[in-house]
Amino acid sequence: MPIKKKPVDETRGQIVDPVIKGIVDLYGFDDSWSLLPIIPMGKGFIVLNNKSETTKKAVLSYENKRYILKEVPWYCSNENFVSFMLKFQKAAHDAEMNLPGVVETQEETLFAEYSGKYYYLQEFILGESYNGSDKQIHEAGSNLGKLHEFSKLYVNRTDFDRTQFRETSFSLAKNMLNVLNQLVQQEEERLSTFELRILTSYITEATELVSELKSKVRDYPQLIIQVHGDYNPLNILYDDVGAVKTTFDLENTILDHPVHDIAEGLVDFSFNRYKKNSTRFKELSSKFNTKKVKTFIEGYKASNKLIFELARPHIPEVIGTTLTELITLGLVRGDYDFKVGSYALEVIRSNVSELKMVIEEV
Amino acid sequence: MLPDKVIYVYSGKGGVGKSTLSVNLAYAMSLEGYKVGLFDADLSGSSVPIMIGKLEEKKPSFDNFKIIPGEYGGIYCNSLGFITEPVEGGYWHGKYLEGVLNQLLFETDWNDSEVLVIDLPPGINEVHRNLFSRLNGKCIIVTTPQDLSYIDTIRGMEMLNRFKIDMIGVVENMSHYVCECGQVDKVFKGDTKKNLCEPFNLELLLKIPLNSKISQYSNRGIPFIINDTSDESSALRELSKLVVINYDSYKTVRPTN
Repeated sequence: MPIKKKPVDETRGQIVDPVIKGIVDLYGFDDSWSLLPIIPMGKGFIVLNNKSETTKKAVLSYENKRYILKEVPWYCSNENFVSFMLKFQKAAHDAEMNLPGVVETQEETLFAEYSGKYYYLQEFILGESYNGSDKQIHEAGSNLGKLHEFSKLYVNRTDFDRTQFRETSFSLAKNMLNVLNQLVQQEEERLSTFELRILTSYITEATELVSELKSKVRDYPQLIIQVHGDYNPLNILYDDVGAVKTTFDLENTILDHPVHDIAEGLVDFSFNRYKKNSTRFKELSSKFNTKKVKTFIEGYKASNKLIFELARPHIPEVIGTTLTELITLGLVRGDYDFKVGSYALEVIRSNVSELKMVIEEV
Repeated sequence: MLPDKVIYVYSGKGGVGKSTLSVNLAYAMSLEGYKVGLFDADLSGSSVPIMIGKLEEKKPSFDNFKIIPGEYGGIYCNSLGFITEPVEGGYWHGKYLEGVLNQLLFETDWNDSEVLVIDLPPGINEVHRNLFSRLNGKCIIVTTPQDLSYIDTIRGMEMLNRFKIDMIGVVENMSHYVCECGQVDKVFKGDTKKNLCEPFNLELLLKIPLNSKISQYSNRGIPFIINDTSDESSALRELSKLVVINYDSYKTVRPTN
């Protein structure tokens, strides 16, 4: 698969004023709109667009309503995908799933094209950020179960080319390993022999592991839905008692088995550790938090026992694959030191084996 | 609601002590019995949170997208520095700048403040243009007795005149150094009265000596005026009172040449 290289960002993560003006014109806003650069996050604040992030966004105020304007990130910026993503978001919102409503342009499209890039406007929802409580984890699992039930019906009634957006956790993990491999080749002269040996060995063995895990999964493709694709704690906001208020950031949505989101949710809620207000990883954990694993699954089962039972046999292998993808992402982004490559596979294998028992018991 | 009296503290040059003067002027006014707000307009290099951090009573809070000022030792204060990490550089322009000023200053609630002291960034940039075109006030000029500071500050004073911001007078900071032996040393040799005050018909309001105690208090997060009983502190308190009392009498002046 060809790898898209991230372009240099000359705007320090901002959607600049003239661009916002051009876009909101397409939505029929007059000049009374304003920006809200500071937004609440948990007990504190965050300043949007103060530094470069993958997704550029701005919060707008117009006629006493608040909106978030997002630029479709470089890695999924094509018209077909944006349409695929936003149609799902709109349908889910209309069906009272917890996703923000998408605002239509004056031309009644779900996104705006401006200066060669795609943008969309959605309602801005205030909420509490993830605090790690059992209640929030349970609700996140339950919310995912409901979203999958909706998605199953949505995909059945929707007419689109199912091959175009079909991916699996296995193909995504291999793509990410390819990205790391390409990066290592590019940086070969800069890397020491020691670094090079660890990273190339990791890439080879991780690729073998993904193939091995894939071979153990049978009957995997029977149930295909549109999955969220990035179901992590930072893409969910809660109310003050821990119920999910909204889920967002569907830029990784694809057609796959629901086990894709379940495995990713389990990795993100009970294994990965994040830096403050960031999707960047802190140091690599050694073990899953089995209490959190059980809580998330119990939440999911409470809202969608049927899909969970279909997914259950595949969860450990898909978790192993998702872990491989995300650890590789951590190495690509530099969140993890290269030395992680020397013990990551052992961490993945031991956790997959341990989780088999936990998941059978839930 | 914004207070009726707005006092800008400005210099064209960085590092002359604008934030130190702003903070201590605000607390001097508070000690004189006024209800005071303090706004740190230096969005790219906030110093105020460091200088008053130890006085925290209540952090800034969020209400319907407005940032309600925090309370620090009896005065209300808003600064982007309370919100962002010190390492996050600000890059503010256009609608982003307008938006952040709305949230922190214009559309927030300054409670019962009678006076608002605004610590401006140095130089001439979009923050000054945005503030001066939206909020009238009177300005205290700060300088060190150096030609380098005069040149930058005169440029800024001409900007103040263009925006019809009345100037109150000039405070000379780091005016001299008093050695432990009692000897007075003029570290910088400039003549502020001749170079800055006379051309703009301004009064030299106060000379503040170079004093390590001032920076030590600032670094500890406590304004020196609160605990200091020196002549300089008394003079600053007196000045703060006069500035509020005579606020309406300060009128825009024009350069004499």
